[in-house]
Amino acid sequence: MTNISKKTLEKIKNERIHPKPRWYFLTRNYFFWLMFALTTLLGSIAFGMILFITTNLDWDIYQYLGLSLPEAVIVSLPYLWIALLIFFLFITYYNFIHTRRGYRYRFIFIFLISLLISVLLGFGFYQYGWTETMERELRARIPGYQHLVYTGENQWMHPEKGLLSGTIKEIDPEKKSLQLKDYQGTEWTIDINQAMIRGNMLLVENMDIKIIGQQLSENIFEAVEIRIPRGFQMGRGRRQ
Amino acid sequence: MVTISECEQRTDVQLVSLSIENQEYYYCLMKRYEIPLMNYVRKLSGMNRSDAEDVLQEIFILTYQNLNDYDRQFKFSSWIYRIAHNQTVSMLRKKTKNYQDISWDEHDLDQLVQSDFDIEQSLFQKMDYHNLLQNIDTLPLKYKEVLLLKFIEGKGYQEISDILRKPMGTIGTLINRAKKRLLQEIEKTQSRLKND
Repeated sequence: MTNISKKTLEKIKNERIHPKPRWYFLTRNYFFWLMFALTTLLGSIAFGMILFITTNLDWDIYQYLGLSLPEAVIVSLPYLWIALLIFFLFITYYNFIHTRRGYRYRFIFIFLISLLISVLLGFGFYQYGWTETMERELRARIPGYQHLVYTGENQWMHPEKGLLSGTIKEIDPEKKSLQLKDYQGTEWTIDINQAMIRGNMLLVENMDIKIIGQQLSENIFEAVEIRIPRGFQMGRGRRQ
Repeated sequence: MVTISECEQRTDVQLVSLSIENQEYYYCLMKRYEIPLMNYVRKLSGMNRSDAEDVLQEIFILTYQNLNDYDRQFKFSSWIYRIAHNQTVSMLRKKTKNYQDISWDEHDLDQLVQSDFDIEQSLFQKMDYHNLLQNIDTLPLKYKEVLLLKFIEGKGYQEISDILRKPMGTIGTLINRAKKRLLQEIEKTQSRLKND
Protein backbone atom coordinates (compact mmCIF):
# COMPACT_ATOMS: atom_id res chain seq x y z
CA MET A 1 0.00 0.00 0.00
CA THR A 2 1.24 3.47 -0.87
CA ASN A 3 2.14 5.52 2.17
CA ILE A 4 -0.80 7.90 1.86
CA SER A 5 -0.10 9.53 5.22
CA LYS A 6 3.40 10.48 4.14
CA LYS A 7 2.24 11.70 0.74
CA THR A 8 -0.53 13.76 2.34
CA LEU A 9 1.83 15.35 4.85
CA GLU A 10 4.14 16.32 2.00
CA LYS A 11 1.24 17.81 0.11
CA ILE A 12 0.15 19.78 3.20
CA LYS A 13 3.67 21.17 3.54
CA ASN A 14 4.25 21.87 -0.14
CA GLU A 15 0.94 23.57 -0.69
CA ARG A 16 1.14 25.38 2.66
CA ILE A 17 -2.22 24.08 3.78
CA HIS A 18 -3.24 25.22 7.28
CA PRO A 19 -6.16 24.51 9.57
CA LYS A 20 -8.92 27.10 9.22
CA PRO A 21 -9.07 29.39 12.27
CA ARG A 22 -11.34 28.52 15.18
CA TRP A 23 -13.33 31.75 14.87
CA TYR A 24 -14.45 30.67 11.40
CA PHE A 25 -16.22 27.61 12.81
CA LEU A 26 -17.55 29.45 15.85
CA THR A 27 -19.01 32.13 13.61
CA ARG A 28 -20.68 29.49 11.44
CA ASN A 29 -22.17 27.81 14.51
CA TYR A 30 -23.38 31.11 15.95
CA PHE A 31 -24.82 32.01 12.57
CA PHE A 32 -27.08 28.95 12.66
CA TRP A 33 -28.12 29.73 16.25
CA LEU A 34 -28.86 33.32 15.27
CA MET A 35 -30.90 32.17 12.29
CA PHE A 36 -32.67 29.69 14.56
CA ALA A 37 -33.60 32.52 16.94
CA LEU A 38 -34.64 34.80 14.09
CA THR A 39 -36.87 32.25 12.36
CA THR A 40 -38.40 31.28 15.71
CA LEU A 41 -39.22 34.95 16.25
CA LEU A 42 -40.74 35.21 12.78
CA GLY A 43 -42.74 32.04 13.45
CA SER A 44 -43.97 33.61 16.68
CA ILE A 45 -45.10 36.71 14.84
CA ALA A 46 -46.92 34.52 12.33
CA PHE A 47 -48.65 32.66 15.15
CA GLY A 48 -49.54 35.94 16.87
CA MET A 49 -51.08 37.17 13.61
CA ILE A 50 -53.11 33.96 13.25
CA LEU A 51 -54.33 34.41 16.81
CA PHE A 52 -55.19 38.07 16.29
CA ILE A 53 -56.99 37.53 12.98
CA THR A 54 -59.01 34.51 14.10
CA THR A 55 -60.03 35.97 17.46
CA ASN A 56 -60.92 39.24 15.80
CA LEU A 57 -63.40 37.54 13.51
CA ASP A 58 -66.99 37.21 14.65
CA TRP A 59 -67.90 33.56 14.42
CA ASP A 60 -71.63 34.07 15.04
CA ILE A 61 -72.52 36.07 11.93
CA TYR A 62 -71.72 33.59 9.18
CA GLN A 63 -75.44 33.04 8.53
CA TYR A 64 -75.72 36.71 7.43
CA LEU A 65 -73.10 35.93 4.80
CA GLY A 66 -75.06 32.90 3.61
CA LEU A 67 -72.41 30.44 4.81
CA SER A 68 -72.45 27.30 6.91
CA LEU A 69 -70.00 27.11 9.84
CA PRO A 70 -67.51 24.83 7.97
CA GLU A 71 -67.70 27.17 4.96
CA ALA A 72 -67.12 30.15 7.23
CA VAL A 73 -64.05 28.42 8.72
CA ILE A 74 -62.66 27.66 5.26
CA VAL A 75 -63.22 31.24 4.07
CA SER A 76 -61.87 32.83 7.23
CA LEU A 77 -58.62 30.95 7.94
CA PRO A 78 -55.57 33.23 7.57
CA TYR A 79 -53.84 30.99 5.03
CA LEU A 80 -51.03 33.45 4.37
CA TRP A 81 -49.97 33.45 8.02
CA ILE A 82 -50.50 29.71 8.44
CA ALA A 83 -48.26 29.12 5.40
CA LEU A 84 -45.66 31.53 6.81
CA LEU A 85 -45.77 29.81 10.21
CA ILE A 86 -45.17 26.39 8.62
CA PHE A 87 -42.42 27.84 6.43
CA PHE A 88 -40.64 29.41 9.41
CA LEU A 89 -40.97 26.18 11.40
CA PHE A 90 -39.20 24.29 8.62
CA ILE A 91 -36.48 26.93 8.35
CA THR A 92 -36.08 26.80 12.14
CA TYR A 93 -35.67 23.02 11.91
CA TYR A 94 -33.10 23.41 9.12
CA ASN A 95 -31.08 25.91 11.17
CA PHE A 96 -31.26 23.81 14.32
CA ILE A 97 -30.00 20.60 12.72
CA HIS A 98 -27.03 22.56 11.37
CA THR A 99 -25.91 23.55 14.84
CA ARG A 100 -23.24 21.31 16.38
CA ARG A 101 -25.55 18.80 18.02
CA GLY A 102 -28.86 19.61 16.44
CA TYR A 103 -28.84 16.44 14.33
CA ARG A 104 -29.22 14.35 17.48
CA TYR A 105 -32.85 15.34 17.82
CA ARG A 106 -35.72 13.95 15.81
CA PHE A 107 -37.59 16.12 13.35
CA ILE A 108 -40.86 15.87 15.28
CA PHE A 109 -39.18 16.90 18.56
CA ILE A 110 -37.55 19.99 17.01
CA PHE A 111 -40.74 20.84 15.14
CA LEU A 112 -42.91 20.62 18.26
CA ILE A 113 -40.46 22.59 20.41
CA SER A 114 -40.27 25.34 17.77
CA LEU A 115 -44.06 25.35 17.54
CA LEU A 116 -44.36 25.59 21.31
CA ILE A 117 -41.94 28.55 21.43
CA SER A 118 -43.84 30.21 18.57
CA VAL A 119 -47.15 29.67 20.36
CA LEU A 120 -45.89 31.10 23.66
CA LEU A 121 -44.13 34.11 22.13
CA GLY A 122 -46.95 34.65 19.63
CA PHE A 123 -49.45 34.68 22.46
CA GLY A 124 -47.31 37.30 24.22
CA PHE A 125 -47.20 39.46 21.08
CA TYR A 126 -50.96 39.16 20.79
CA GLN A 127 -51.50 40.03 24.46
CA TYR A 128 -49.36 43.15 24.19
CA GLY A 129 -51.23 44.23 21.07
CA TRP A 130 -48.15 44.11 18.83
CA THR A 131 -49.91 41.88 16.33
CA GLU A 132 -52.80 44.34 16.07
CA THR A 133 -50.38 47.19 15.41
CA MET A 134 -48.56 45.08 12.84
CA GLU A 135 -51.79 44.09 11.13
CA ARG A 136 -52.80 47.73 10.86
CA GLU A 137 -49.38 48.68 9.49
CA LEU A 138 -49.40 45.87 6.95
CA ARG A 139 -52.88 46.82 5.83
CA ALA A 140 -51.85 50.46 5.44
CA ARG A 141 -48.45 49.92 3.82
CA ILE A 142 -48.71 46.77 1.73
CA PRO A 143 -50.96 47.13 -1.29
CA GLY A 144 -53.23 44.14 -1.73
CA TYR A 145 -52.65 42.80 1.80
CA GLN A 146 -56.38 42.98 2.60
CA HIS A 147 -57.05 40.65 -0.33
CA LEU A 148 -54.58 38.09 1.02
CA VAL A 149 -55.96 37.94 4.54
CA TYR A 150 -59.60 37.65 5.49
CA THR A 151 -60.05 39.85 8.55
CA GLY A 152 -62.90 41.34 10.54
CA GLU A 153 -63.01 44.24 8.12
CA ASN A 154 -63.60 41.93 5.16
CA GLN A 155 -66.20 40.09 7.18
CA TRP A 156 -68.17 43.22 8.07
CA MET A 157 -68.06 45.04 4.73
CA HIS A 158 -71.32 43.65 3.39
CA PRO A 159 -74.00 46.34 3.87
CA GLU A 160 -76.26 44.60 1.36
CA LYS A 161 -76.23 41.56 3.66
CA GLY A 162 -76.81 43.64 6.79
CA LEU A 163 -73.20 43.89 8.00
CA LEU A 164 -71.28 47.14 8.19
CA SER A 165 -68.29 48.44 10.10
CA GLY A 166 -66.30 51.63 10.29
CA THR A 167 -65.39 54.60 12.45
CA ILE A 168 -67.91 56.96 14.09
CA LYS A 169 -67.41 60.46 12.76
CA GLU A 170 -70.26 62.27 14.42
CA ILE A 171 -73.10 61.45 16.82
CA ASP A 172 -76.50 63.16 16.77
CA PRO A 173 -78.20 62.25 20.10
CA GLU A 174 -81.42 64.07 19.20
CA LYS A 175 -82.04 62.23 15.95
CA LYS A 176 -80.54 59.09 17.42
CA SER A 177 -78.26 58.70 14.44
CA LEU A 178 -74.59 58.79 13.70
CA GLN A 179 -72.27 59.41 10.79
CA LEU A 180 -69.98 56.51 10.03
CA LYS A 181 -67.06 56.21 7.65
CA ASP A 182 -66.55 52.61 6.51
CA TYR A 183 -63.14 51.10 5.77
CA GLN A 184 -63.52 51.83 2.08
CA GLY A 185 -64.06 55.52 2.82
CA THR A 186 -67.80 55.66 2.19
CA GLU A 187 -69.83 57.86 4.58
CA TRP A 188 -73.03 56.41 6.04
CA THR A 189 -75.88 57.72 8.13
CA ILE A 190 -76.79 55.14 10.72
CA ASP A 191 -80.19 55.09 12.37
CA ILE A 192 -79.62 53.80 15.91
CA ASN A 193 -83.18 54.22 17.24
CA GLN A 194 -83.75 50.48 17.57
CA ALA A 195 -80.14 49.51 18.15
CA MET A 196 -78.92 47.36 21.00
CA ILE A 197 -75.35 48.13 21.95
CA ARG A 198 -73.45 45.02 22.93
CA GLY A 199 -71.25 45.36 25.94
CA ASN A 200 -73.23 48.32 27.26
CA MET A 201 -70.62 50.81 26.07
CA LEU A 202 -71.15 54.48 25.42
CA LEU A 203 -70.64 55.36 21.77
CA VAL A 204 -68.07 58.09 21.20
CA GLU A 205 -66.57 59.74 18.14
CA ASN A 206 -63.61 58.00 16.47
CA MET A 207 -64.73 54.70 17.91
CA ASP A 208 -64.59 51.68 15.59
CA ILE A 209 -67.89 49.81 15.56
CA LYS A 210 -69.52 46.85 13.83
CA ILE A 211 -73.20 47.00 12.96
CA ILE A 212 -75.80 44.35 12.20
CA GLY A 213 -78.89 45.79 10.57
CA GLN A 214 -80.37 46.64 7.24
CA GLN A 215 -79.36 48.86 4.34
CA LEU A 216 -82.25 51.24 3.73
CA SER A 217 -80.87 53.19 0.81
CA GLU A 218 -77.52 53.92 -0.81
CA ASN A 219 -75.92 55.54 2.26
CA ILE A 220 -78.47 54.95 4.98
CA PHE A 221 -78.31 51.97 7.28
CA GLU A 222 -80.58 50.97 10.13
CA ALA A 223 -78.76 49.41 13.07
CA VAL A 224 -80.23 46.55 15.08
CA GLU A 225 -77.11 45.62 16.97
CA ILE A 226 -73.86 47.52 17.48
CA ARG A 227 -70.66 45.79 18.51
CA ILE A 228 -67.46 47.39 19.69
CA PRO A 229 -64.21 45.65 18.80
CA ARG A 230 -62.66 43.86 21.77
CA GLY A 231 -60.06 45.83 23.66
CA PHE A 232 -61.20 49.21 22.36
CA GLN A 233 -61.92 50.56 25.82
CA MET A 234 -58.27 49.97 26.79
CA GLY A 235 -57.07 52.14 23.95
CA ARG A 236 -55.79 51.03 20.54
CA GLY A 237 -53.27 48.28 20.49
CA ARG A 238 -54.09 47.00 23.96
CA ARG A 239 -56.17 43.86 24.33
CA GLN A 240 -58.37 42.69 27.16
CA MET B 1 9.77 14.17 11.42
CA VAL B 2 7.73 12.91 14.35
CA THR B 3 7.94 9.13 14.66
CA ILE B 4 5.00 6.84 15.29
CA SER B 5 6.52 5.68 18.58
CA GLU B 6 6.44 9.30 19.81
CA CYS B 7 2.70 9.37 19.19
CA GLU B 8 1.74 5.94 20.43
CA GLN B 9 1.13 7.03 23.99
CA ARG B 10 -0.91 10.04 22.98
CA THR B 11 -4.67 10.09 22.58
CA ASP B 12 -6.45 11.30 19.46
CA VAL B 13 -7.50 14.49 21.23
CA GLN B 14 -3.93 15.25 22.28
CA LEU B 15 -2.73 14.61 18.75
CA VAL B 16 -5.35 16.99 17.35
CA SER B 17 -4.10 19.79 19.64
CA LEU B 18 -0.48 19.03 18.74
CA SER B 19 -1.26 18.86 15.01
CA ILE B 20 -2.75 22.34 15.05
CA GLU B 21 0.58 23.63 16.40
CA ASN B 22 2.86 21.30 14.50
CA GLN B 23 1.74 19.57 11.32
CA GLU B 24 4.28 16.77 11.84
CA TYR B 25 2.01 15.32 14.51
CA TYR B 26 -0.77 15.06 11.98
CA TYR B 27 1.21 12.28 10.37
CA CYS B 28 0.55 10.13 13.47
CA LEU B 29 -3.17 10.75 13.30
CA MET B 30 -3.25 9.88 9.62
CA LYS B 31 -1.23 6.75 10.20
CA ARG B 32 -3.62 5.70 12.95
CA TYR B 33 -6.66 5.98 10.67
CA GLU B 34 -5.15 5.15 7.29
CA ILE B 35 -6.10 1.48 7.15
CA PRO B 36 -9.55 1.64 8.82
CA LEU B 37 -10.59 4.59 6.66
CA MET B 38 -9.22 3.03 3.50
CA ASN B 39 -11.29 -0.09 4.21
CA TYR B 40 -14.34 1.96 5.02
CA VAL B 41 -14.09 4.06 1.85
CA ARG B 42 -13.63 1.01 -0.31
CA LYS B 43 -16.45 -0.96 1.24
CA LEU B 44 -18.83 1.96 1.09
CA SER B 45 -18.01 2.91 -2.47
CA GLY B 46 -16.66 -0.20 -4.14
CA MET B 47 -13.79 1.90 -5.49
CA ASN B 48 -10.53 0.36 -6.63
CA ARG B 49 -7.50 0.95 -4.44
CA SER B 50 -6.04 3.74 -6.53
CA ASP B 51 -9.27 5.81 -6.59
CA ALA B 52 -9.83 5.14 -2.90
CA GLU B 53 -6.33 6.43 -2.13
CA ASP B 54 -7.14 9.68 -3.89
CA VAL B 55 -10.33 10.01 -1.87
CA LEU B 56 -8.49 9.19 1.33
CA GLN B 57 -5.94 11.88 0.66
CA GLU B 58 -8.73 14.40 0.17
CA ILE B 59 -10.31 13.20 3.43
CA PHE B 60 -7.05 13.72 5.32
CA ILE B 61 -6.53 17.19 3.88
CA LEU B 62 -10.10 18.19 4.62
CA THR B 63 -9.78 16.86 8.15
CA TYR B 64 -6.57 18.82 8.64
CA GLN B 65 -8.15 22.03 7.39
CA ASN B 66 -11.07 21.52 9.78
CA LEU B 67 -9.13 20.48 12.88
CA ASN B 68 -10.32 23.59 14.72
CA ASP B 69 -13.88 22.48 14.17
CA TYR B 70 -13.35 19.26 16.10
CA ASP B 71 -15.48 19.25 19.25
CA ARG B 72 -13.60 17.43 22.00
CA GLN B 73 -16.82 16.13 23.47
CA PHE B 74 -17.16 13.80 20.49
CA LYS B 75 -14.96 10.84 19.72
CA PHE B 76 -12.33 11.87 17.19
CA SER B 77 -12.94 8.61 15.33
CA SER B 78 -16.63 9.53 14.87
CA TRP B 79 -15.64 12.92 13.56
CA ILE B 80 -13.08 11.68 11.05
CA TYR B 81 -15.42 8.89 9.94
CA ARG B 82 -18.07 11.55 9.35
CA ILE B 83 -15.73 13.48 7.08
CA ALA B 84 -14.73 10.25 5.33
CA HIS B 85 -18.35 9.28 4.90
CA ASN B 86 -19.42 12.65 3.51
CA GLN B 87 -16.46 12.84 1.16
CA THR B 88 -17.02 9.31 -0.15
CA VAL B 89 -20.74 9.84 -0.66
CA SER B 90 -20.03 13.13 -2.39
CA MET B 91 -17.55 11.33 -4.68
CA LEU B 92 -20.13 8.64 -5.40
CA ARG B 93 -22.66 11.28 -6.40
CA LYS B 94 -20.18 12.85 -8.77
CA LYS B 95 -18.85 9.55 -10.03
CA THR B 96 -18.55 9.05 -13.72
CA LYS B 97 -17.72 5.36 -13.53
CA ASN B 98 -19.48 2.47 -11.92
CA TYR B 99 -17.29 1.14 -9.12
CA GLN B 100 -17.51 -2.60 -8.75
CA ASP B 101 -14.20 -3.55 -7.22
CA ILE B 102 -15.79 -4.96 -4.09
CA SER B 103 -13.31 -5.10 -1.30
CA TRP B 104 -15.11 -7.34 1.16
CA ASP B 105 -13.29 -10.35 2.51
CA GLU B 106 -14.05 -13.41 4.60
CA HIS B 107 -13.00 -11.63 7.75
CA ASP B 108 -15.83 -9.15 7.20
CA LEU B 109 -18.36 -11.91 6.99
CA ASP B 110 -17.03 -13.48 10.18
CA GLN B 111 -17.49 -10.16 11.90
CA LEU B 112 -21.00 -9.91 10.55
CA VAL B 113 -22.00 -13.36 11.76
CA GLN B 114 -20.35 -12.96 15.15
CA SER B 115 -21.97 -9.61 15.76
CA ASP B 116 -25.48 -9.18 17.08
CA PHE B 117 -26.81 -9.59 13.60
CA ASP B 118 -29.78 -11.55 14.84
CA ILE B 119 -31.38 -12.51 11.58
CA GLU B 120 -31.42 -16.14 10.64
CA GLN B 121 -27.82 -17.16 10.78
CA SER B 122 -28.61 -20.47 9.13
CA LEU B 123 -29.33 -18.47 6.05
CA PHE B 124 -25.79 -17.17 6.06
CA GLN B 125 -24.42 -20.64 6.40
CA LYS B 126 -26.27 -21.72 3.30
CA MET B 127 -24.77 -18.94 1.27
CA ASP B 128 -21.26 -18.58 0.12
CA TYR B 129 -19.41 -15.50 1.24
CA HIS B 130 -19.30 -13.93 -2.13
CA ASN B 131 -23.06 -14.06 -2.62
CA LEU B 132 -23.79 -12.60 0.79
CA LEU B 133 -21.42 -9.73 0.32
CA GLN B 134 -22.80 -9.11 -3.13
CA ASN B 135 -26.22 -8.85 -1.54
CA ILE B 136 -25.00 -6.20 0.90
CA ASP B 137 -23.65 -4.27 -2.04
CA THR B 138 -27.02 -4.27 -3.77
CA LEU B 139 -28.67 -2.49 -0.83
CA PRO B 140 -29.43 1.21 -1.10
CA LEU B 141 -26.68 3.40 0.36
CA LYS B 142 -28.71 4.38 3.43
CA TYR B 143 -28.93 0.69 4.46
CA LYS B 144 -25.46 -0.28 3.34
CA GLU B 145 -23.81 2.49 5.35
CA VAL B 146 -25.50 1.55 8.64
CA LEU B 147 -24.75 -2.16 8.19
CA LEU B 148 -21.14 -1.30 7.45
CA LEU B 149 -20.72 0.96 10.44
CA LYS B 150 -22.55 -1.29 12.89
CA PHE B 151 -21.42 -4.75 11.91
CA ILE B 152 -18.14 -4.31 10.05
CA GLU B 153 -16.68 -1.22 11.70
CA GLY B 154 -18.21 -2.21 15.06
CA LYS B 155 -19.49 1.28 15.88
CA GLY B 156 -22.10 1.90 18.58
CA TYR B 157 -25.42 3.64 17.95
CA GLN B 158 -24.20 6.97 19.32
CA GLU B 159 -21.10 6.86 17.12
CA ILE B 160 -23.14 6.00 14.03
CA SER B 161 -25.49 8.84 14.92
CA ASP B 162 -22.50 11.22 15.10
CA ILE B 163 -20.99 9.92 11.87
CA LEU B 164 -24.17 10.07 9.81
CA ARG B 165 -25.59 13.13 11.65
CA LYS B 166 -28.91 11.42 12.28
CA PRO B 167 -30.77 10.90 15.57
CA MET B 168 -30.08 7.63 17.39
CA GLY B 169 -33.70 6.53 17.03
CA THR B 170 -33.43 6.92 13.26
CA ILE B 171 -30.22 4.87 13.27
CA GLY B 172 -31.98 2.04 15.14
CA THR B 173 -34.83 2.10 12.64
CA LEU B 174 -32.44 2.13 9.69
CA ILE B 175 -30.48 -0.82 11.05
CA ASN B 176 -33.63 -2.87 11.52
CA ARG B 177 -34.88 -2.02 8.06
CA ALA B 178 -31.46 -2.76 6.57
CA LYS B 179 -31.43 -6.20 8.19
CA LYS B 180 -34.90 -7.00 6.87
CA ARG B 181 -34.00 -5.74 3.44
CA LEU B 182 -30.82 -7.80 3.39
CA LEU B 183 -32.79 -10.88 4.35
CA GLN B 184 -35.19 -10.26 1.47
CA GLU B 185 -32.29 -9.85 -0.94
CA ILE B 186 -30.71 -13.08 0.29
CA GLU B 187 -33.98 -14.97 -0.11
CA LYS B 188 -34.40 -13.60 -3.60
CA THR B 189 -30.89 -14.68 -4.54
CA GLN B 190 -31.43 -18.12 -3.08
CA SER B 191 -34.67 -18.72 -4.92
CA ARG B 192 -33.03 -17.51 -8.13
CA LEU B 193 -30.16 -19.94 -7.59
CA LYS B 194 -32.61 -22.78 -6.98
CA ASN B 195 -34.52 -22.01 -10.17
CA ASP B 196 -31.28 -21.92 -12.14
